[in-house]
Amino acid sequence: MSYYFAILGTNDSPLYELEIGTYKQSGDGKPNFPIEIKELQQFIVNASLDILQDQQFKINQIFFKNLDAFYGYQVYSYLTQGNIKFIISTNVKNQDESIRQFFIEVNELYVKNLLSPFYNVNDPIRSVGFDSRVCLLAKKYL
Amino acid sequence: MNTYAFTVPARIKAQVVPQDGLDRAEFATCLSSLQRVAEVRLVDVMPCAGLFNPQAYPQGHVTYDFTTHDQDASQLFLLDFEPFRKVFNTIGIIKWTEELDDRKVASLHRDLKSQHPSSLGHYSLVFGAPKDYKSGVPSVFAVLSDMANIETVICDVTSSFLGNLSVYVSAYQHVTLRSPGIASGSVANGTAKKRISSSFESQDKIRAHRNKGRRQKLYANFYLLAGNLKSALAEFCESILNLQYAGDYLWLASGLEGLGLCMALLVRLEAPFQLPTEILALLDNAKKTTQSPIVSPRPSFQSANVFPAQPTSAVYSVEVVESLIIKTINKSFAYYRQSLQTPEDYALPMVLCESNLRYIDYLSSVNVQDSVELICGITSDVFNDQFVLLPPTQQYQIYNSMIHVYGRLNMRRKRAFLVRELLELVLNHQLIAQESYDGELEELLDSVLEVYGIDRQTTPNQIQKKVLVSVFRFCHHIKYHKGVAKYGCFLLRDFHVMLSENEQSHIFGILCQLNEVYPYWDDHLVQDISLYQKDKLIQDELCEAAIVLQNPYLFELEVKNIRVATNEFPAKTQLNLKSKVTGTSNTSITLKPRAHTTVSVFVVPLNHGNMEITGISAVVSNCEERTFEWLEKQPTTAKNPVAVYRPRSLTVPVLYEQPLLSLVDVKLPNRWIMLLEGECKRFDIVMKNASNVEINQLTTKFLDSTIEPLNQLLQNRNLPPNEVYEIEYYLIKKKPFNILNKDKVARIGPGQELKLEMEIWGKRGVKEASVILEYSHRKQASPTNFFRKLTIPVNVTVYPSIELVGCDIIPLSSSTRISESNQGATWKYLEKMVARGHQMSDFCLLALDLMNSWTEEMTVTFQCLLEGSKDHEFQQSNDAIENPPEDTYTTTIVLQSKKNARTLIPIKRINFDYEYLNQRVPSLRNKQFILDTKTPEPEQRFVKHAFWYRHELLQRLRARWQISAANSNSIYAGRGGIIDIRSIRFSSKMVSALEVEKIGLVLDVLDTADRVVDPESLELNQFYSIRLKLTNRNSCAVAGMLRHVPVCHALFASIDKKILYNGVLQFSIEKPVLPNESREFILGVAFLEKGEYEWGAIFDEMDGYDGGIISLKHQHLQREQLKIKVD
Repeated sequence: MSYYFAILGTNDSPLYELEIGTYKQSGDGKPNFPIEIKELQQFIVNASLDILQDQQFKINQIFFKNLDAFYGYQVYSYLTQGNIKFIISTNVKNQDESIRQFFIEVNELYVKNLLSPFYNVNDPIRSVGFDSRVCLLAKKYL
Repeated sequence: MNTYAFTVPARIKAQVVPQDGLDRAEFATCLSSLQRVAEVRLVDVMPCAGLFNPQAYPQGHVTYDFTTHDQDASQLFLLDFEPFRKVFNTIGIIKWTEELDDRKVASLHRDLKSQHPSSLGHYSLVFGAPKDYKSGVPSVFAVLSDMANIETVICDVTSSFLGNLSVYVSAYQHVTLRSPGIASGSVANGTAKKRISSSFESQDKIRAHRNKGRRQKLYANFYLLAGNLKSALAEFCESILNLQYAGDYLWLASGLEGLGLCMALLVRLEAPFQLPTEILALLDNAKKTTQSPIVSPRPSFQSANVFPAQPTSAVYSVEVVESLIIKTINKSFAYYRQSLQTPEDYALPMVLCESNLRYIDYLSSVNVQDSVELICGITSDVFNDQFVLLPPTQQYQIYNSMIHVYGRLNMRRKRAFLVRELLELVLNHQLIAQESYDGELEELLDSVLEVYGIDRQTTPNQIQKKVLVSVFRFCHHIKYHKGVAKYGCFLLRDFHVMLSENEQSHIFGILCQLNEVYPYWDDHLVQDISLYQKDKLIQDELCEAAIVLQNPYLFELEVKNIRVATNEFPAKTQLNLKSKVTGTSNTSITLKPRAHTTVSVFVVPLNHGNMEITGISAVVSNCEERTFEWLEKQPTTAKNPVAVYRPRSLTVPVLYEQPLLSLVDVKLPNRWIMLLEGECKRFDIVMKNASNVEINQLTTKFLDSTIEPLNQLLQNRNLPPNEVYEIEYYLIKKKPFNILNKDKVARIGPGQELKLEMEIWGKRGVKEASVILEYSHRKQASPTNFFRKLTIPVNVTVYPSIELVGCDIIPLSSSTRISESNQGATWKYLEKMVARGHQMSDFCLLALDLMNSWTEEMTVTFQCLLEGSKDHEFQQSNDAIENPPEDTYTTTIVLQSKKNARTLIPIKRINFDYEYLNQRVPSLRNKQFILDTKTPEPEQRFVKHAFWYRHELLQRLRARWQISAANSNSIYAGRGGIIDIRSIRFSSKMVSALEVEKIGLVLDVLDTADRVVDPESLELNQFYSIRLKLTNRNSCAVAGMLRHVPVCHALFASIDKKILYNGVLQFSIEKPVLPNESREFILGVAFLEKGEYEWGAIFDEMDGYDGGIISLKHQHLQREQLKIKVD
């Protein structure tokens, strides 16, 4: 039971990625993707952008649950106002609401990060502070 | 043909097999011509008896799916459920030959039947048959060689097949159809559980409905295959209602799917149709039925009354039908999913999956709102966690189909992802790729790379590498050589940093084995190009160029055929110096791994003009020859972090062909020359024009070891101008060599020899000397400054001979008397001159101190002209003055070795006007005159005066030494040379002795009778007159004050008490004295005391005498004081 979380830029480039394990559903808090899935996650997330791009101009919402699924992994997405995509691919079921909350709080972190004069849109996020805060959020919600 | 096309359930599978040793190519042509006529209109088909008589629905079509595959044995148990999976027909293809008679055909046909027993119909087609050929064997048809009758043949086959099908289907009349899940013997537990809930009557009724419905569904499927859409539609509708009643979800779902297809085909035929209202109700009421499918087994006919809204004779528009179909299929899925919960009748994953894919195929081909969402939803179902459990071949087919679908939907990322998965699948399971994409494969793979940003100019990452590696391996696996080359090059070019040595070598090894022609991938092969000869190249001549090539890889690279690429400027490149070894292709250069290698090549420009070297062309390993531009990395900026490369080039001017001069001989004994200082010697230098080009420009330069120190001296800016002139004189005028036959050597034709007659002059301090010839061929049309240099060193040793160690000038006065004992040449000459009317005071004596530094006795000869020579070359000449005028002074002295001697040379005093003397010291280098503000003006004036007087002196005087020819002991006998007298330097005293004063003041003593008396014997208390004669030798009139300065040697008394004078001692001359005029001033005097007196005079030349401010210009002293003795 694990989450793969990625922030993708407007040009599909990955800005940030994190594998998250869960304590819920008797998890030990460590990500445990099977090796073949672990390799695939980035591809799955990338592929889901096709659907997201189709949907984002049709539906007036920023959070999409069950956007896509592959090999039993559900894809959730959250669009920021700047067309940055937060995407989670997970095999954890029925966590829609907490994922949504997680996204909302990550968005706040992301906006704060964006305010930094040393950060440009679509640059990879290398801030250690950002990383540790996202990890805290993950612990809280996922 | 897509395995998961929506229309698959309406296609008759027919296996085509080659017979009688048909070769592959012919079989492929036959197969493709069959595939062209795969669709048969029923109206063309001969009527046949039975259920599927084509006349029943003539608008219908029968569609064949010609495959080469056998019946898939793993699907046999599904045939009762989905009969379209069966391979109904087997078609044997026979090539017509002359020997082909009925007997053979019959035996072939028998073989066909025995080999494919499961097929319903067996047909043999004889391809390429002549027109009159007619086979007697049943089920054997002849296809004409022009394929004209192939459609007729297929129609005949269809007719026969439909007949057979009727028989086959009739067998199902009394069979109880079972679900495939049970038929295959899979687990069917928990069946009893469900049945408990229903009563026995209703169970019987349900079972009856179910059996009926299942049979109807099967029949409908067969109708669909036979093209009878009308009956199919009716049967499907019936079966759906029955099955729904029976709650038989699996079959119901399958029936609904069939209905959907049936409707789609009807729309395609533009045939009107109508659905029973019950069905419509079922479709519209989707939610309700799915929620409680079992609970309300409502009789279908009743529900018709509940929903009477639909007009019975409706002809639906395409859009409506499409939405109907989608509803139908959605419904079908709902039931399929439902069936999963009933263990006995559940849909097998394969069935569900294929059905899903067929639906996706339909959705992707029609333009329905939200089709993308639907497809995505279904795909999620297809690629669920069970997907990996499917057999690889099936996974492969699903991927394949989905790739098509995503391609159609323009979902490039999804497609790329699946392609990657497909490649991994193929590679992991070593599947042979069954389907060929032809030209589309490259496009597909390229689009995958594009999705992952591999062709973009970004920093490559591991994911991209992974994708690219699998694409490369895939291409290698399916032996798609073009792809291997392309993607292999891609990998090596952009991803070599991430590849290990093994990977790199592996890829390179594969690339090397390819037969494909592909260019070398690294655009940055050329790192630098430089020419050793930077300024100018010569046509047809070699120039060495250093080319730096890079090999960033971990394997060695071989480079061949290196040629310099230019802006279409004809040029030749050689690896060796000799032009005959032009076969550079044989020589290959190895570039070491991860290194820059400098390759030296020789460039020969074949034309003249400007050659721009833009890069090289070369063959790297076994890639095709290509041109590598010389690219230079532009510095990256914050705005533009991606490295930009700009082409660089090297432009060099190329001059037309130039000659080559070679030295043949320097005609000197022992190739060495020994000179005494000042000596001249002649020798020859022989050269040859070794080229085919004429030399029409030849200049000579001479170099000796004194030049460099002199040049360094010239750098000193504080040097007075006269010293600068001296140095310049030695540098420019007094050259160590002289070419005597200069006028004859203007041109040297090709191959011609040239003899230079040289003269060398022994200059002090020369240790080495060389003749430098600068030559070129200059065309009138395009003159050039180019020249080629030939330096001929001449070994010289110069020994000192006679040196001038000192000099002085001694004035002579009118009172100078020559005694009887003075018998030297100097005095004789002076006497002669005085006798000729010259004054003694017109002369002065130049005293020269000479020293003989040589080991032998030498004769020194002086020649001195009375007036300076007008010859400009006088000072440079090394010979004695020829035919000197009669008034020339000549003297000869003999000087022993290591001895000094002083010579006195009478020089006529020099009379130059100020204008001449104040000319500035010329510069032989034509250097710009710089006004000297530091040196005081009088000193500057002196320097100028001294320079011009010295110049005049040098124009008069010449001195030579000679070793007597009579001296038989010496090997140097008879040799002679010039003595360098340029070391004479003037002091101000020497200048005043040499010059003729500008204002001549001559004092005389006259007696009362105006006779000149001897001033040495004057008498006391007698009247005398002092006559002061003022001569103006200037070119302009002078005016000023004149002063008499009488001085008495006895200091204690005032001069006034000793001399009485009549007038004043100091007075103005009043009127100016005109040039070359004299005026006399008389002063009467009487001496009152005995003693010795000196009488001087001073003339103060003044400006502004004719008005304006009076100022002192010059002060002139009289030259000789009057010495007076009063007795």
